[in-house]
Amino acid sequence: MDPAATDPAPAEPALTDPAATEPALTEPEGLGSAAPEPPVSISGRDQLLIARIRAQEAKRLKAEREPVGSLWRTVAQVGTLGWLLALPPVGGAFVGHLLDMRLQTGITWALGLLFLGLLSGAYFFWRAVQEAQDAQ
Amino acid sequence: MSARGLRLYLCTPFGEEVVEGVRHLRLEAHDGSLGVQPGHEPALLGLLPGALTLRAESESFVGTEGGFAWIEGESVRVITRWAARAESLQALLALLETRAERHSRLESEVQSQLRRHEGATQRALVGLQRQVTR
Repeated sequence: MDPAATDPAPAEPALTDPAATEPALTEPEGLGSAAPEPPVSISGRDQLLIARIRAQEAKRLKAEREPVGSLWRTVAQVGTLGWLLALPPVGGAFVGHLLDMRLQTGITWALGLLFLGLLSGAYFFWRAVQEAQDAQ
Repeated sequence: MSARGLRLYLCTPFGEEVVEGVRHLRLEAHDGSLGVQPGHEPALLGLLPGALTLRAESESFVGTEGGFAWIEGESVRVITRWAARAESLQALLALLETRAERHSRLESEVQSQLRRHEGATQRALVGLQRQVTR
């Protein structure tokens, strides 16, 4: 948008802005308890707007520098991925070992469920990575 | 969800501008930062002074002095006292600084005129008092 389209022209009576010159209207009783905002000068409003946009820019630059997020967020993500990868084979091997002991089948069940756990762990890991990439 | 995107109306006392095909809009509201996409639930929000981020064909920013955002259907109306659009936050800041300088100059001019008028009024009053007491 051309700034001139909405920006008041220099000749425009900027200092006749009602909010800047008139006292703030008091709220009728019974319509709410919020106090009216104190009147702010035009320069004060300009400085407030500039400060807020500078803060937005700083936040944006920080986000660009740290796309992954904070240290703790990264640690949490790595931890979650680690559990996803490690739990299924360990669980499979444990259940397989119990089955082998009960059925007297050597290490057949333990090995079978260990490989099944490895495969499913790899699948869960891949899916979690895909979801994280989509979220970014 | 519309394939055409949102239609953003920037309504100020100095005119209205329409931005078509907005895919995503980020508003800084009193309730926090809010992302709006096509198909958003209807809402009326109080906006804080700051920059809205909008993604249409490219990303751009709209500086506003607060106001209201009215989300309804596939349109978002931003009703504000002043708005300006720029391709980057730096460009928006440069625009705002120029505007602030102009406002500051106008304010100081008006204040000096006011002081002159006050002086003239006081002198006239003193003259009247002298005439009355003579």
